Amino acid sequence: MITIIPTVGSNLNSICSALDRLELTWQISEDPKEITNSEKVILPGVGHAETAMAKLKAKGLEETVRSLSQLTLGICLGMQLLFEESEESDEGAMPVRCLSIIPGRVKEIAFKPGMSLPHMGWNQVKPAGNSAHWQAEDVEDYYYFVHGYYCENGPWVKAVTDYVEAIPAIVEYKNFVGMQFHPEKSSTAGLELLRSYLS
Amino acid sequence: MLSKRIIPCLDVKAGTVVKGVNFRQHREVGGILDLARYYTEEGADELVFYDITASAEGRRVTTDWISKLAKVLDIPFCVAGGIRSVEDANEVLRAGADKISVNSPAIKDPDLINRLAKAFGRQCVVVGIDSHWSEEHGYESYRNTGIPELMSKQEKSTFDWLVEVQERGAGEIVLNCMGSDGTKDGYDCKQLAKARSLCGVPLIASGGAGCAEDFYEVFTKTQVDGALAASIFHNKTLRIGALKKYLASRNLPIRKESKWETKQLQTFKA
Repeated sequence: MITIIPTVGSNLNSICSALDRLELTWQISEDPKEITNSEKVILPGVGHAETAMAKLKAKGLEETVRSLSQLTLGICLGMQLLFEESEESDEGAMPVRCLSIIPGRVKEIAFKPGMSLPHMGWNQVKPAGNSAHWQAEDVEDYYYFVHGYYCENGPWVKAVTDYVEAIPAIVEYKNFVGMQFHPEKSSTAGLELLRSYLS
Repeated sequence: MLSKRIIPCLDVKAGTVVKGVNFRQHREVGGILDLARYYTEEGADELVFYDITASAEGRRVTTDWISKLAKVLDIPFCVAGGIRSVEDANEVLRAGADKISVNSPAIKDPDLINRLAKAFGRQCVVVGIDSHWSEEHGYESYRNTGIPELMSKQEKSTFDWLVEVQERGAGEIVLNCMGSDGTKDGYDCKQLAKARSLCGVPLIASGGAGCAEDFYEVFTKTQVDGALAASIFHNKTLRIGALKKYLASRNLPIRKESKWETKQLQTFKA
């Protein structure tokens, strides 16, 4: 059983459909016990880091997620929340404290003339490290990105994409996995990547 | 490298997909789910669904077909039409749309853009601008373009409005050049290039695509992030697969078919 934590992701339909296509059983739950006892966990995220952390705290899920020992996949904002802190806080405020599982920071993509922000659309992902879950040639493909903040580089980076600078696309740290793009919106490439982690 | 997006636009009216010429004379082209599936298989990068009469008729877009779409589609899609409040947008996003697009209601209530961006993040908020050029006034933006009798222009010029919506929190702009819409004479590159220079968020060109060269032209002359078209895709004058091959052969960054799809195809054939 895979548990999807709905707390910070508004749109779960496509993730559930992807899991159905992979013939995996899933449940949506905010219950700490159910989350802790499931085989794998997905933390999707859409929106604002500070608001998202407040929601996780309000549901008492901060410590639950932090202490998970099974494979846990953070998607988009869900990936960024795995890091120490994020610059995506209320205007002028200090960086917002995140789950502090991966020892890096989340920064805003710096605007340069001629570029569009947020980084939105299909971008090419290239392997940047070894993963126990996939072969380098299998992961290289186009995936759908929508984000204005990015995670810090470090030994946890397994794949990158290029948007003016190298942006971490897939990270792995202990049992935690993060994807900056939306695998559930990335057609067959995304589905196959989900299969490599979840099946 | 970030690829240029090819976006079929499906104008929805009373549950079916329609397409008009110069915003009038709507013609039925097919069912929503069938067309959505067809375009995904063709290699569309994203889909846009416009409930073209919702705003003018004073009702919100219905959500039953959106949840059905979300279950079928594994590429992003945007829904527009009659979204007038955070609650309206919430229902559409909860039903499974990735983005919502506002046009006429944002002209009437510009603060709506701020409220939507605050509630859902600017990446969900697309602002559509219907723009028309006149000798006397230059580029002007219009509202209620879905129903000719109710169509009216607003006081702000297209470019002032384009800057304002970004300041208010738009995460993407679709600039529909009404003079070229449905004409198949090519995108309005002059207007789009000017818009691009004022735009820090993704900009999508709309209106006028008639052949593959028009897409090449708009991407190279204006640096837009994506190009939207309807009739040439609906009547199969231009197939998306062929278009993407052509653009890639001319060295534009285009998303190719995933190797997994190629593998699947080989398995089917075997």
